[in-house]
Amino acid sequence: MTWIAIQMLMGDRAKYLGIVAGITFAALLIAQQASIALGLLLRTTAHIQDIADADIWVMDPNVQFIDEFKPLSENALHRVRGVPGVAWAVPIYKGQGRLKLAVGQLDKKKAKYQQSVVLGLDDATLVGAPRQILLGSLADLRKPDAVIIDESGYRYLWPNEPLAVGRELEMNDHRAVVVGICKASETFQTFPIFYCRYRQALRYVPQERKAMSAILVGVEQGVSKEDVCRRIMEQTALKPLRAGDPPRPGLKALTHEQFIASTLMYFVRRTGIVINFGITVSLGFLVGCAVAGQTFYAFTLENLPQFGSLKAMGASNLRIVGMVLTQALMAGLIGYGLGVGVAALFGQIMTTSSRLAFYMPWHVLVGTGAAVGLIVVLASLVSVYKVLVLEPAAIFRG
Amino acid sequence: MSWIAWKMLTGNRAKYYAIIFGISFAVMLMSEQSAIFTGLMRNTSSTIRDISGADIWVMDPSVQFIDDITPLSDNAVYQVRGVPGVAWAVRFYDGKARAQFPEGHFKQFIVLGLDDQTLVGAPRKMLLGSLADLRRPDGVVLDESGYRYLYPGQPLQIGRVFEMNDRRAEIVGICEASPTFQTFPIVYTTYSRAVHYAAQERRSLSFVLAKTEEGVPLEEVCRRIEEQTGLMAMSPSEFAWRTIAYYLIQTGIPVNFGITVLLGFVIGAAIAGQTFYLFTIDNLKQFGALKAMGVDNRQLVGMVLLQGAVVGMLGYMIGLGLGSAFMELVTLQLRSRGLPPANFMAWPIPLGTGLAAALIVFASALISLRRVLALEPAAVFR
Repeated sequence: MTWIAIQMLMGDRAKYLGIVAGITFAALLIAQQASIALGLLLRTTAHIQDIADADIWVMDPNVQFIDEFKPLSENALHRVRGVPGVAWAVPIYKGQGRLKLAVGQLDKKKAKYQQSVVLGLDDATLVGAPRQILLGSLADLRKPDAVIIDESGYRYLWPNEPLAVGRELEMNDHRAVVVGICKASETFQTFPIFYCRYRQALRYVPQERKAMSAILVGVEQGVSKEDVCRRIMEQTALKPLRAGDPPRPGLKALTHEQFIASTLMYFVRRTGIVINFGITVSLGFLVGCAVAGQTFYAFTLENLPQFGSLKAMGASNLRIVGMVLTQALMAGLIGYGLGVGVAALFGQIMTTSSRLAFYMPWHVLVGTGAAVGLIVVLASLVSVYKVLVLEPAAIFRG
Repeated sequence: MSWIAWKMLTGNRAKYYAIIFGISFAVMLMSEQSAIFTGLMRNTSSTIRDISGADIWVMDPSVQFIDDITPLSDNAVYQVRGVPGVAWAVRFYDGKARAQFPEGHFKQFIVLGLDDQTLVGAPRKMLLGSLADLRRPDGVVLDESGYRYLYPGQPLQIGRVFEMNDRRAEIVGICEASPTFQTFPIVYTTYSRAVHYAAQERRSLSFVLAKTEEGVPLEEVCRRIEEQTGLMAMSPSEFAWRTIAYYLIQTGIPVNFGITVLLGFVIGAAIAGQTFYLFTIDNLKQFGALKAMGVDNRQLVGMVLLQGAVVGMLGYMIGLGLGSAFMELVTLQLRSRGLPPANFMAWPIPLGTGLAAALIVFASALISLRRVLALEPAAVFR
């Protein structure tokens, strides 16, 4: 019986391809768009992930995500160092500066400007330094005016040129020399990233009264991170304005994971990324339903006489439903495989040849599978109804 | 004959609605997404459009769009004033600053600094307070949507105080400003105050705004400024288009919206086209009977096209209406929350979606027609 169902399906080449194409298109669109959205969201936390040494990030209580810090007073550093359970605490600077290429170029039209991210690492320990240096050495960061640039930033600023150290540029009227090239995770804003010493960074970006973006904290062995966070927040809290009120928050301490979650949540809630990709994904679902569903329905309609004969020959309704489901399932499986495969191929090609954000964890595959399953079930429901109410004798009439 | 076609169409209620639904869905999605897209693009150049009075913008030659500013030396304004054909030239500051509120939270602002003496570039419409109050100490004018964002649910009111770069700022007026791409609140203040509100570099002058003398062509003055000062000069509309072109070429926004518009078209074509085809198949018998009665192919084509045109027109109008209504609702909603809406239903959008709807109808009618034309009249009686 299953065999007959498959024969029936394959027999009508055009409709068979139409159903498979509809499902493939839907699966491709759902998987690809979901992966791009996840890739983009993942990038928003790139800086936090790259700074894996820190157990805890301490910042102003109103900070919600990594791209908008409110500077802290340098005193905060010493207050955090005094909290029990804190093994070490160092400052970090993160800001945006404008760099000028073609230093010494007198023709103004040839000067090139570019926004960039400046990360200032603690002068003594360089905590937060890039993990993987492709060229040069991390120790060179101690040289005067030294900066390390990330690889994709280098390729953006000097396209088609070999990686080389020693290039000069200017930030906020101060000289910067590239002493190393490192690998950094791709960021959401895609600006080139410059690592340098904390004191150096303050010169590269125009300054306000306070400068320190956040404090990175290492926890003593055997103490839980959450405990230390709580203690930091308690100890640094400010006195209430009126007697009897609860203390005002002084500093906020988040573990590495909490800060990632907080940044992600900010982008999910405050930006249109999720809605935007959500719309395209649901459109993909609709296209799949519309094309596959309608073609499948037309296919069943045309094959009604066959189903009628089978019924007349004594096939039970259950059997017939099984046949329709087999047909739908088969088209669904093939379409799903093709769609997800093409999406993965697209991601593979795009991530190697360009800087497109693409991240396809297994959840995307499962989700797409569920969506395709739903499409298949919806598409066959309408058809099953037609077959069930069919009067076997009807086909022999007329 | 048209009457029969009409009867045939409305007789099959379910399919009739499905076709109209398909087309209106496509039209709604396409018009709404295009309106958001053109709105976003228009928002990128809001600051340029909002500034009245000046007819030339002078900037550093490396500037690609309005948010990418290379500051000029303060001398630039004197250099521009010295160019023949320039009636007047004033300084203009455009930058970002972080505002700090008494409650502890902070927010990124766009700070616009107007020439202290003339206030050239001032907002056109004040809702509360007066522009002259900008001359009071620490006076700033905040835009309405910024106010609604910062103080949600509170009546417009002047006198509120906040801090920027450790300096006091007092709201002395509330004005109307076009929605911006970056969605930050906008504060207007005098040039000399604005440079203190933002963190300072060696240079601070963002743009020089100039006016040509009467009777001198604008292009001529721009050319002279560029020759004499080495800076770049252009008219506001030229600068606005340069900004829009930058966003069009350098960002993924057009691709992103293009995909959704295309999907809308595909879905519409798929639903409407397939349903229309099924509808024609269902009615093949009728068409065959008509053929047997002596109706020629041309009349049959006319019938199918008429059916297509009816559903197309209905779907188009419903879709466009829904799309516009949706956009208006969203705009109202965003405005009340103080978020700048992106909505600009330029006339090419209804026209373009109309063409797309016509294409969908025409294509689906074509497929259906093939079956009708190839139909053997006798077949229906066998």
